[in-house]
Amino acid sequence: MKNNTMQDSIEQKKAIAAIATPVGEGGIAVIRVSGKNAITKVNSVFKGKDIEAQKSHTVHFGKIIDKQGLPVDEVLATIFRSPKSYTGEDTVEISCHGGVLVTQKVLETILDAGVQAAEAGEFTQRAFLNGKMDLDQAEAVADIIHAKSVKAVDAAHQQLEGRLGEHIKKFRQQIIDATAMVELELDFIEEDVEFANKEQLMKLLVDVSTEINSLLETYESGRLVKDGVKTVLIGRPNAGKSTLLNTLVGSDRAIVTDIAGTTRDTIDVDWNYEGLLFKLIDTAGLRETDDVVEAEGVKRSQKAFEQADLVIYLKDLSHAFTTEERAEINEFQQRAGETPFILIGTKADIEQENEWRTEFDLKISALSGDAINTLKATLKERALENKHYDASSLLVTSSRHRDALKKANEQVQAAIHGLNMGMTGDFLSIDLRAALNALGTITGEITNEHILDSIFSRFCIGK
Amino acid sequence: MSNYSSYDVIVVGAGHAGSEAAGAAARFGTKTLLITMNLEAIAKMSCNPAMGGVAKGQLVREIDALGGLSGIVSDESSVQFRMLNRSKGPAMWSPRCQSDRMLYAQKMREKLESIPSLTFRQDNVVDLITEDGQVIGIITQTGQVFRAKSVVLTSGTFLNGLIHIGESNYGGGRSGERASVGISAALEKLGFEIGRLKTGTPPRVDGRSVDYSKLEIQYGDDDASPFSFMTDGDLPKAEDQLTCWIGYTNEAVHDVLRTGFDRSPMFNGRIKSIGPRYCPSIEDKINRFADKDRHQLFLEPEGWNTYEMYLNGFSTSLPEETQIEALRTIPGFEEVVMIRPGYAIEYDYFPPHQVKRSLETKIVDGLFFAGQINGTTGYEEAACQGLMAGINAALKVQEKEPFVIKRSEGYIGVLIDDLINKGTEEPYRMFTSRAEHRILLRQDNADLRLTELGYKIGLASQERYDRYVKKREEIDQLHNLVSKYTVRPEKMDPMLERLGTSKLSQPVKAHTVLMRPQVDLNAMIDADEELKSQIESITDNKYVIEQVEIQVKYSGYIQKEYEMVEELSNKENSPIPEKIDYTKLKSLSTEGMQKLSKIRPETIGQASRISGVSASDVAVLMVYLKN
Repeated sequence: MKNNTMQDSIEQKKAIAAIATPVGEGGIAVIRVSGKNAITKVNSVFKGKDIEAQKSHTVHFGKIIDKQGLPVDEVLATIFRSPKSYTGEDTVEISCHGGVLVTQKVLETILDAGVQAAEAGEFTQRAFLNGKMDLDQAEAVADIIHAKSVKAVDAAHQQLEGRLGEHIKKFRQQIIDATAMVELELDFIEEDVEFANKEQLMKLLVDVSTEINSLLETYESGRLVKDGVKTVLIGRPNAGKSTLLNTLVGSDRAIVTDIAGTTRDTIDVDWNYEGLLFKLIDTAGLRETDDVVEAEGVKRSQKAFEQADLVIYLKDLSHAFTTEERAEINEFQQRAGETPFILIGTKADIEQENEWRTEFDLKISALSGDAINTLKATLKERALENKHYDASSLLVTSSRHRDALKKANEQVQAAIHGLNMGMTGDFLSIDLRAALNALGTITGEITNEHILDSIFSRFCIGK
Repeated sequence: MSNYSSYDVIVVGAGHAGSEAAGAAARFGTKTLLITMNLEAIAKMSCNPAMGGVAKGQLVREIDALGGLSGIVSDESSVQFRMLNRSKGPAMWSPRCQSDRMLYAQKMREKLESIPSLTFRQDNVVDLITEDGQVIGIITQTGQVFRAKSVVLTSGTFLNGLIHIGESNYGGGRSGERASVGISAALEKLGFEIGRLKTGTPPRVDGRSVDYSKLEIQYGDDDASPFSFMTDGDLPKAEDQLTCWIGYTNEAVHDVLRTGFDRSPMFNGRIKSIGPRYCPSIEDKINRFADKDRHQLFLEPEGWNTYEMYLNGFSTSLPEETQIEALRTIPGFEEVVMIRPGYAIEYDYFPPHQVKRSLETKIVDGLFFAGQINGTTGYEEAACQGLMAGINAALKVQEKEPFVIKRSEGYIGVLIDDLINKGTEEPYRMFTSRAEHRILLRQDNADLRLTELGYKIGLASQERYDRYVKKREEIDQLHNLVSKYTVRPEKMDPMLERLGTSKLSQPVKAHTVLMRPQVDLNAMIDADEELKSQIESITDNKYVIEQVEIQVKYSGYIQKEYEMVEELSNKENSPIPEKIDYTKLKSLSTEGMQKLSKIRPETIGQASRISGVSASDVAVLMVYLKN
């Protein structure tokens, strides 16, 4: 059933997505989504206009919303309808705020909506195959694809040498063994061998699923290690945020004065502590203001807060608490949810009496250097709490790997479900092979022969 | 050149590959010659007297659907029918029969003799004649020359065949038959890479000397279905079929066998070539799985009118005296008379990366290989290659495009694609797990997948095609009916309750009830008179009903699989020009370049399945080809 639109000439492949701009802290990052139903899939996580109903080459403002319905970022979505796009397929380009974390989160949300992570050079390849480039470019494109994939292969190779590789190989072998148990009974029904019982198979599948899950959990900490811990400093103006930041980093990065509101914009500083990268974000303060420029800064501070991996609230101890302040701290603490929240009292050297003194995680005096070392250790400890972080433990850092592992796990879960439903081996095998295919996108190995190898090495076949 | 004769196609060898090849080529109307060393041994079952089985039964159904002969001959010569794996999903149902060995050969010969353009000759081919890389004929040991435009080699285990029993060995192609010497050297001279494989066979015994009271009996099926889509009527009831018997070895048997190990060609290094892992000799099983205290044996009848029995599972090349002593230690075999000893045989094969998808060799134009010469094992594997090689040899003569079956269309496609891309180091046998689209490649729909293709190239008969068209139309109508027909709770509920599934809360379409695992269409027919009469007005064919049932019940999985096929179809349909020079594609990885140069895939899809060719190599290739 072909439709009779102009898309006929181009056959759209499965939708893929990737970050199209160089990785880093650019002002704006672009995520490109291309392929069959690309617009529909983006629309499913886009809050704003119904972009499916929009014309080609139009730009729309809206929010990317995650599974929980929470906003990830405000974005601009540009629609390109096939064949008038870079790849020739239906394409959406999403411009979001350029931070690594935000961009990654937007990409993940889109992947979760049923889009595949693009391979190196895949957009270019599609563009070429759909005749969107002239012939002179062909060889150049081939080289690009090659260069990219060599890099990718190298990276993959390194990872496969390491502990991630060991785990993936182990999962793969476990699933191959499970598949062999299932296939044994299918291809060798006439043999005098003991077929797998349901419990044995179930245990194997549950074990592998559990292990994949715990590996997936390291993705969060893996991401922290790779991209840095986004640490937001908040507090009333002049609470000493800039001072603290300068103390940690050791330079006058932020302007420090006694005038409230000096920091008009968020200021990001990288600070490396014992191998862990902190992205310190000094906010413009959160006070209501009539100053337009400052108001913009306040807005950004709010946003930085929402995306933080670690929140530090600073309270100037030289002033007594107000009820309002107390309410504000409670509110932030609540909004931080599971994100670690540290309450620090500053200017401890000139502390005023106040009744909530016990609630502070730490009291410091940035200028005098009190307890700075304790502070540093606390930051690291709190940043990594509940993150399974161990410098020597294995980390899933690439969203492509996370994607593959997640898919593999879903298929193993499907097999578990099938087994519970009493499905026969030929159907379980479909799920297990899909799981192997998913892992195969990391390891790139063929499986049919391996399944038979597993059978022949473990069972005496040949009646 | 004392004699001179000219043919379109010459088929060398008349085993299961050769018979199908000659039968197919000749039915294209091409003048075909079938040369075999022994005309009494046409389609001889050298190993066990059975056809089909898991994955192999699917192959026979496919051969039949295309218009080949093995299915019909199997039906006509069977002594027992079974459908294996009935308790699994429909993709696993696998027909198998026990055959009358002599009747099989006789029926096949009758079928071949009824084809007008097919000539037979008993002779031994010793050399090929080529001219400018093109085969033009063959020379026999008597110095006769036969010219042809295409030659199909189906040499089985005969090329430099060497039979081992204990410490003795002698040249031979099969028990009691000579080996064929000459062709291997001729091919090597032409530049072919040659390899050596091993297989084996168990002793045959006199059925009158077996104590059956110590064995388990195994009956055939009562409601068996035939291999051929052209076979009408019911097959014999189980009581009218022959039975098989199951026995077991024990530690005492193993001890006896071990006494012969020092004289075993397997263990003393005389046999160097590799045998199949899934069909090991009994000594190999004892050796590799030492903790297993017994091994299963199947005693199979060799035919309606013989006492000779085949002892499946006891393949051996141990000294004859060890064989008989061990046999007589098996419970039930204490007094057994051994008619023929088991033996191992080594033979030449040509690693199959040297043939194209059409089974034509890459080195010599017009020369085709089929069967064990390509490294496979099994009658069914050989027969389907023979059929494909015969078809393509004839198409070559007629200057038509080769006929290729895709992996998504049939096990035949999987088999050939595996061989040419992955090669094989042990004799290759088909397993269902080799097929990634297994759920689509079922024995029940082989005709729906392949008969149209067989008809289009001119092999499947008009009668076969008409049957297929009628069946397909009835399937469509019935499918349509069950998706539109509304069933009511009052009719269905008693049946649903009896089958242990929940009652209907309101009227629903018939197919939603049919999707329940417990329910089959016949149960629904019995519960609803109106549905029954409407179905009866569409079809009286039980296979139509079965087909619709499968299509409805497994629609989710089938649909998912079709989508995967669709996704791959672009690659499968992108040809790679024959003359491409991979060394000029600088962006290829070194290994990818070497493998591509060696295997020379014909499509992008094929390239992507070659081990050592990475995804980026394939991308580079695609980009290059667009250029």
